[in-house]
Amino acid sequence: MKTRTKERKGNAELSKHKEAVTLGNVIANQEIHIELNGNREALVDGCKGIVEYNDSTVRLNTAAGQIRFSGRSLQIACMTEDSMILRGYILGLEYCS
Amino acid sequence: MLVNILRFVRGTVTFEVRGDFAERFLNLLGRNGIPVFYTQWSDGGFVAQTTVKSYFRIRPYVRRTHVRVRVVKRQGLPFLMRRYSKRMGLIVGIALFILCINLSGGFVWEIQLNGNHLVPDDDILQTLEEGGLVRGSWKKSLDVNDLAMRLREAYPQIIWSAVNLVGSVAEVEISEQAEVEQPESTDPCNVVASRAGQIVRMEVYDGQAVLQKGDAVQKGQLVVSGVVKSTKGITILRHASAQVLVEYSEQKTVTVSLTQTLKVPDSGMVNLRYLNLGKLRIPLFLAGGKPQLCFERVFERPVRLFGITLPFDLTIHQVIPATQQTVTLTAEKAAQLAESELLSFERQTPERTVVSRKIKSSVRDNQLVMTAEYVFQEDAAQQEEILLNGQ
Repeated sequence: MKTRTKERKGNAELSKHKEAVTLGNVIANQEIHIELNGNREALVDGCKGIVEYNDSTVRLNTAAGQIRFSGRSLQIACMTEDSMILRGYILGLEYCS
Repeated sequence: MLVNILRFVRGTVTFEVRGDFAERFLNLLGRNGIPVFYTQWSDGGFVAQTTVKSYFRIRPYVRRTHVRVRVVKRQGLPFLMRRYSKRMGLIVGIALFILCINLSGGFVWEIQLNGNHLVPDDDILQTLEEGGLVRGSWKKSLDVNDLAMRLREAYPQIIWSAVNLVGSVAEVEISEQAEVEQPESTDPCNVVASRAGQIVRMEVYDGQAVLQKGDAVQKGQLVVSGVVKSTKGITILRHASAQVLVEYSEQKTVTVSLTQTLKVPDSGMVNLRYLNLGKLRIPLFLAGGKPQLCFERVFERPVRLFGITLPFDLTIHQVIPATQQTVTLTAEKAAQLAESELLSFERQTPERTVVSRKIKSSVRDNQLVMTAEYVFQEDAAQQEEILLNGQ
């Protein structure tokens, strides 16, 4: 019984460390961080630039490759060096290459 | 919301980008700290917004990416200011409006009285005015503690008061003590006659009666004595009280001239308005004034805007011009006038009742002379303190 509890605690700590490392990577700009608000807004943190942009597709360059947002009436609401807010009807998110 | 306000204040430029490397141009802007927002795709390019200052920084990146940039729209305060810079009146008007709005918050616009039942509103407002609180007072000049203290000092019925300045409203909170009947005085006293006459009825509640029913009495004469001798021969001082009804006669003569000069209203009523700003009274008419002979009614009206009482009010003098006309009255009409005058004379003193009235009237020298012989009845009991040891 005690052994199982210890195992559970160990797993929880491991996942915490993993999470911390993941966020650390995001902070260090090594990984992309995407937040989706329904299908109307996406906040992309850690992107390296726009590769393709039109009404139905936005392809972004990231450290780990490219990601593509597909949808309708896509609009870049705000953009800085490494982040952007994408608005519109997002129908798909695809990791390319 | 806040972001939109800031963007409006700083001014924004909407521009259209066309070219094969539009995406690269966007990337360059982002990397070089030029904010780009509301980017929308359009055929062969896109439309985006940036701030006015940043727009002047995009030229090198335009050259580098060989795109064509065209300004679509200019929005925001800098452009509005530029557009209206030659219209000084408009700018001054807006500045004055903002100044007025800011200044108006510093005045008392309304005075609300809460909780007073015994002390009338007018009396309280009068006391507050003496303390400097009127509609239109400058809030910073008021000492609310002093005003509250003044109210408590002026009216013993007020046991607690406070003046709260809530926005532009002065809320005067008043707490009054419950009406307490003062216990009747038990100091030794006599009952004397307050006027001369014949006693027709006498009820003695306390004390020793000196006069009786049917006696004639003079003003100030002792009627009931407070000095009473007991059966053991001891002198006791009492608080004498009694009801002493006396009858007395009085004559009243009314003279009405049969030829009278009357003030008759004429046509052409005029309202003369004055604006009261604190103690300042500004006439709101250019010329003219009230004629020498006129009827005049004065009333004050608070000025309201969208249901809010403003800190100034309007005094309206309603002036009706009048003319003097000589009228000859008939004897009946003159008698009516004389009788109404007699009636008003009777009502002057409500404490007395008319027992009888004999009226004689005659016309002499173009005048109606009406003489009324009255018999009145009145309670003439008046308590007079017995002074002990000359005190």
